[in-house]
Amino acid sequence: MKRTPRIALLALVTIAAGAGIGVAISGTWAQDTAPEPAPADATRFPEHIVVPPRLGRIETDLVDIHGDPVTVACSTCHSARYAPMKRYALDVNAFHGGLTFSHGAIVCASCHDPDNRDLLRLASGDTLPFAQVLDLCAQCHGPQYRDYKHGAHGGMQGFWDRTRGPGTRNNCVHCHDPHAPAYPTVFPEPPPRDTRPDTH
Amino acid sequence: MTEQQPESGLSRRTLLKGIGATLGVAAFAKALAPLTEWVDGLSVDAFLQKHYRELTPDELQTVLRRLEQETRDQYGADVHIDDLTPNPGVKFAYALNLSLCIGCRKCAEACHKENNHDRDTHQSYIRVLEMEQGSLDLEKGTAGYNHAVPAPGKYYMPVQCQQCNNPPCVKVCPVEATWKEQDGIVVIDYNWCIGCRYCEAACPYHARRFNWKKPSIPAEDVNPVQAYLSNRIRPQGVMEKCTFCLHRTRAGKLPACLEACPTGARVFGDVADPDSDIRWVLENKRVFVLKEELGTQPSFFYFFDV
Amino acid sequence: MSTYSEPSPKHLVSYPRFIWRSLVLSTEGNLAFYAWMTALTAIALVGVNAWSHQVLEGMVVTDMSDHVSWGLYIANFTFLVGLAAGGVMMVIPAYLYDDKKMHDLVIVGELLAIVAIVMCLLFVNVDLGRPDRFWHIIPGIGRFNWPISMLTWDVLVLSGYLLLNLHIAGYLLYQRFLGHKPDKKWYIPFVFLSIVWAISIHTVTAFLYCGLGGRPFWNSALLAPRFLTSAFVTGPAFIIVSLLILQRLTRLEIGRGPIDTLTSILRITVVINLFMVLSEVFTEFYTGGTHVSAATYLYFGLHGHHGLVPWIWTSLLLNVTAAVIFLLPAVKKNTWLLVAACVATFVGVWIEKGMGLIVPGFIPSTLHEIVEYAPSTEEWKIMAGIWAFGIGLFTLALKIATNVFDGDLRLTRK
Repeated sequence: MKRTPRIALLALVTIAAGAGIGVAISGTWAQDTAPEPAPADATRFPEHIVVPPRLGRIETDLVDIHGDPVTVACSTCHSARYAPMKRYALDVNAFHGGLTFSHGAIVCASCHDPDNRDLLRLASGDTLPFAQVLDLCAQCHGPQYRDYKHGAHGGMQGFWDRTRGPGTRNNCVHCHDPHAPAYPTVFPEPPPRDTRPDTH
Repeated sequence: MTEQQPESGLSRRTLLKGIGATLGVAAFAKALAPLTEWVDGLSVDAFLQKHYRELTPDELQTVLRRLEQETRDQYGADVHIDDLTPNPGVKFAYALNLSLCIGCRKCAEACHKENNHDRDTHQSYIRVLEMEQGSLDLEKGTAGYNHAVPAPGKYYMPVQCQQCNNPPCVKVCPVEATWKEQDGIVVIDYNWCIGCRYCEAACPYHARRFNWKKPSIPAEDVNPVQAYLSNRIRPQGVMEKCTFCLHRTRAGKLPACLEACPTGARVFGDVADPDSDIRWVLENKRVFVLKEELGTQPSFFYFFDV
Repeated sequence: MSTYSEPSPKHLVSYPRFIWRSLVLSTEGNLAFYAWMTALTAIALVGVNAWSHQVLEGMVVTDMSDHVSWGLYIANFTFLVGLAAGGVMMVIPAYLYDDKKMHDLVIVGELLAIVAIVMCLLFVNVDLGRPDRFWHIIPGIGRFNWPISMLTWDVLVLSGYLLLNLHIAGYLLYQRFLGHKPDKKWYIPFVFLSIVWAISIHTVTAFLYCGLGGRPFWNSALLAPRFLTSAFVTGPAFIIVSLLILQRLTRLEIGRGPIDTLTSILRITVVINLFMVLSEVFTEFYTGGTHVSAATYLYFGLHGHHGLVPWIWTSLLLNVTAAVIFLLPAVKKNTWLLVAACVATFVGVWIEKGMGLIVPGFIPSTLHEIVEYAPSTEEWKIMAGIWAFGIGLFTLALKIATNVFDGDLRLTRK
């Protein structure tokens, strides 16, 4: 074979190899096609907000036949005794289920209806059952409530795809005691076993 | 070196060489003895099994039944291994609220239980770092904290597989045992991985784990709801990683870590759905990713509540 | 060496005869030879047994962890790829510069390359979590992630290099066995190819590491040049010592020429290697910041952990000492000085490239945690086993080669 055709052949082979490698590389890094969103008319399962069972009730020392503590509504005692609502929670020093207070400068009547101990009260004066306490918290804690509505605050269980199943949400008061709402410290699960604790 | 060959019969040298060779072969067989025990645990079907992506649906079902039987034999647990394919049009993303995470490690614990991890090492795909407030420097983070949380002056950052859109682990695998699926999850075919651990070296987020020994799990602790590409009990000598609980999420459910989180710091969903929670977070919170400069394009985002 | 031409024998007959006679020769020798080979075999068997345990019980028998996931095996692999590449170092003066005296000794470099690659393949295999799945990486049979995964490039270039050197060495020895003069067209092009290929094997191995953005200690453009330079330190050093041993134990005539040439090469490459270390050290420590953590851990210890500090300073001391010795004129006159310098730099580079490169790449981890690594007893046993096997193989290969050159291993006896 003459020299010139040999070089031409070598050049052709190199270019072909280079092109082949380029195609192989681009083939491997295949681009995603834009995903289509879920159909808008799919039925959605509900989101259930769990209401803690002892909301707006006080535990007594008694236990029922199932082993659950016996609870009483606020009006059970307050209908029998005359006790006008105190202004400040720290002034409440008689039986009140171990109340500790640490919620800024608000007063009892900020949330509780002074005329009906079984109801809460919004800033507008409208009353509100204890089970809807979320709306009361949301009055002042708008950003947190907004985040909560979008799943960015507060525990969640169930389905991310509500067309396939429901979801449940924690209630504000699951984690935040309304009288002392700061999230408590907890002891964590054990650390990973593959690091010696004396690092750093 | 010239040799004086004897003219007749067996020389002493040849006899000695023969004895030496026999002893050598015997010693070699003895040295390899542990392998016979290991080979007993293998089967021809397992040895010849093709890559997940090359299996026909029938072959895959045969494999799943075989794996279920192996689990029964080796762990005494009845499990159901499914093969869940990506939901069309769905692209998963995860966000983590660093203002809410208290570092309780319940997510890591839930991962440990959900994914049938080895009990001896208490393995988990999630590592929670206790970070210094005011700094994003991982150098100042520590994973071994063991005190009441949240501690003052600290914040907590769980790290797990970021399901990168430009995954270095997928690039480096020599046998294509790991790849990125259409819904964004980077998966591993545990029966194809050769255990070279190149992906573990390549991952910038310490997301990949290797089975240094055969996982040990009591039968009653085994999570029987399993998938081929996610939480089935992995064999010894292969890689594994967080799969965003695809055995749950591809069925529409939330991942185990999210359900365990008491504060709701975790947000998960389909980023292709404009009404999803995760879309809202990505559009309304100031999200960032770890090690962005490496160009891995994670699907896992972090944000603070400001 | 006979150069008379004989009528061409039937290769189907003479080639098996060549193999058979070589094997028989491998088992012939004096008492010292038997003692040497028996000791090496014993060590190799200890390694085989340790590896069998590892396969059965899992790699938990090593000290590796999810933090430091590569250790002694890959350290040795990296070093030996360099040794294999450096083995071909003699080829350049012999063929590119037409140094006739080197010609006959080129075979030593090629045999070293073959043995080193075999050891590399063994080290990779003992590092696999599932050695039974090795077939998954065979192109065409398994799935081969080429050209994206650098490991696949490594498989290709290492296999190719092995075949190349097997061909060259095999061809030259076989032709001499037949009593023929080797035909240039059957080995000269391959020899030139092996020069380029030697560079490629170590470049690809460096690319394995330096392409990983998540490992800043490795993510340096200097890694490939450093690898090549240290390869061209260890190769000639090992060959010099091998040649001196051959001179002592066989009738092979070596003379000062080839050894002086190799010493001159070493003078330069040892210094360049040290210069590259300096460059790395400056870049790391002057810049500072978090990216310097691995280098800080290696040289000075970090957060109370200093497992590798004695290793790296020993390596530095050995390399500097060797560099100084090589620059002395006396090194070309005093054999023991030369041997000391060769051994010093060989060990120094083994540490620097092995434990001083692989392990610090993992410490601190990608989440900046420190989990240290010190090879377990099983790992040392397996490493010793593979090295014993390799040295034994090299001994046999040289034995066959020297006998062919002496005229003792021939198709037709003189």
